[in-house]
Amino acid sequence: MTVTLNLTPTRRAARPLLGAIGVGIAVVLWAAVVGLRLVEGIPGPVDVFSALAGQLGTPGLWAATVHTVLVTVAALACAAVAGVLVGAIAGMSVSAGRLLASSIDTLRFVPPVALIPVVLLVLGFGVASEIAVAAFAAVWPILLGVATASAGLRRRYADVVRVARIGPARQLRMIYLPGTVPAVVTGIRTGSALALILVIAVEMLAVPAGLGHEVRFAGDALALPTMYANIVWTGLIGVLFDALSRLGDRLARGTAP
Amino acid sequence: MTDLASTSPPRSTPASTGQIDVAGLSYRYPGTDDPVIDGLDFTVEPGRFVCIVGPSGCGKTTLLRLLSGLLRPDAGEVQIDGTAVTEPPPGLGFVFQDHTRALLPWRTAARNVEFGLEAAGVPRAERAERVRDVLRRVHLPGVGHRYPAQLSGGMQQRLQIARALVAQPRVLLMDEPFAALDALTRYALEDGLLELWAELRPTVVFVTHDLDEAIYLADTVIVLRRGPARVVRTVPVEFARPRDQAATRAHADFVAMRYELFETIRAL
Repeated sequence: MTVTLNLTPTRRAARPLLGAIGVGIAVVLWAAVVGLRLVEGIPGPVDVFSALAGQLGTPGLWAATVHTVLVTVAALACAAVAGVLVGAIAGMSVSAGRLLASSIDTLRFVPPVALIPVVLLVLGFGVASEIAVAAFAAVWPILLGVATASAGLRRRYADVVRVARIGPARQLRMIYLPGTVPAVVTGIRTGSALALILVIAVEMLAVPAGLGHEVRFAGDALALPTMYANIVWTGLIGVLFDALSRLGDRLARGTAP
Repeated sequence: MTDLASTSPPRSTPASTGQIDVAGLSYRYPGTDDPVIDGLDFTVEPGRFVCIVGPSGCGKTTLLRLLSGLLRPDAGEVQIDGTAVTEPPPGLGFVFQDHTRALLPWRTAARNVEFGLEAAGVPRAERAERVRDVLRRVHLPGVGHRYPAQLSGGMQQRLQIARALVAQPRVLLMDEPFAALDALTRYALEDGLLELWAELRPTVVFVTHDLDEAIYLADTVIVLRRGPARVVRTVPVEFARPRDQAATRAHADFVAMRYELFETIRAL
């Protein structure tokens, strides 16, 4: 233990400590439920964590993790580009907003899982389908956030833009893209959870790759500790995604107070 | 004068452009019965500093928006240098009352000032030089890298003035730019503005509800009355320039003019 100068030791240390205590309580409850045989068919934490340790010693889970993470990131990138462009256009012009509003409102209530059969038929049982379905899920929080933020910018800077005589292309570059960065980052943060869920769903249902496939495969083989180990691992990957997008959120707000 | 000429900007000659002619100007807000402005006529000579005063709600801001082309009149017209104004023309600067709705919070001070130049496609190297020069002129050197939110209200308003002036406009329209500032900051900004105006000589139309400010700044004070706006009086202000916040305001003629204008507006 090294002792370093820390001005607020208790408060800084308390936060992760409380989080760890929360996880500890959950694991103890889990062990109690399994140990007292309150529910059948669930392996205890010891079995699951040793299965997880075993899984992490093999290349299979790591390859699946890399696959799922890369596909999720690709889907988020597609969702961000589409969401920013369409959202900015919908927010920039009142008539474009009206033109797009009905389509947007109809499409965003289509459950992404309902699109899986269609996408599989069009794009096949591969990475493209995973990306398309996940991007469809993740695009809405980005698009709607950007559209709302852009409409606010349009009203706020209407006079400034007219006095400076700025055309639409320059407006997009000078006002809308930089002005909607906070909305984009928040949208990506919400969308990353949705994208990860949908990537795993498609992998479980149709595409034999990634973490979703690992969960499904272990379940089909009745290797229950391994299946739960994969589920826990998927949750940890989700936590990692959330931490990264929080960091991005903070960085984006730091540069534009 | 010759050694000054090298440091002063291209428009150092006495203003020959920036004439504003207002003829028969009328405006009624959509959905209302009575016009805000009805048959307004006046002229502002190039390079003059005109202040518009009047009771609140008399249409001062509406008039400024009509002069800029941000609003279109129902009848009559505004001409700048003989051309009818239908949209904000090139060479027009506008300083808005609310700097929080005018400055871009994600741009640094320098990037905010160069906004108009960037919009007009001025090359980057030239922009940087002009921005540095104008920031020095508004007494804001060394804040170029800071964000508007990190600056005081007075500094933000100076930034807005710098942004309007960096493009060397023929006409500068100002809508109560100092209304939200404390008295000492306001005095400093008034003097800074007069200094810049004397160097660059744009035609300035400055709307204010503060009679002292109007008399202190202006060559001419135009008094409007309310419902609909009409010119009640046009008062020439002939105090020598440069003016001095303490001495000019204490001058007997200043006090007399202020008294007279106050009585005029109170009687409206």
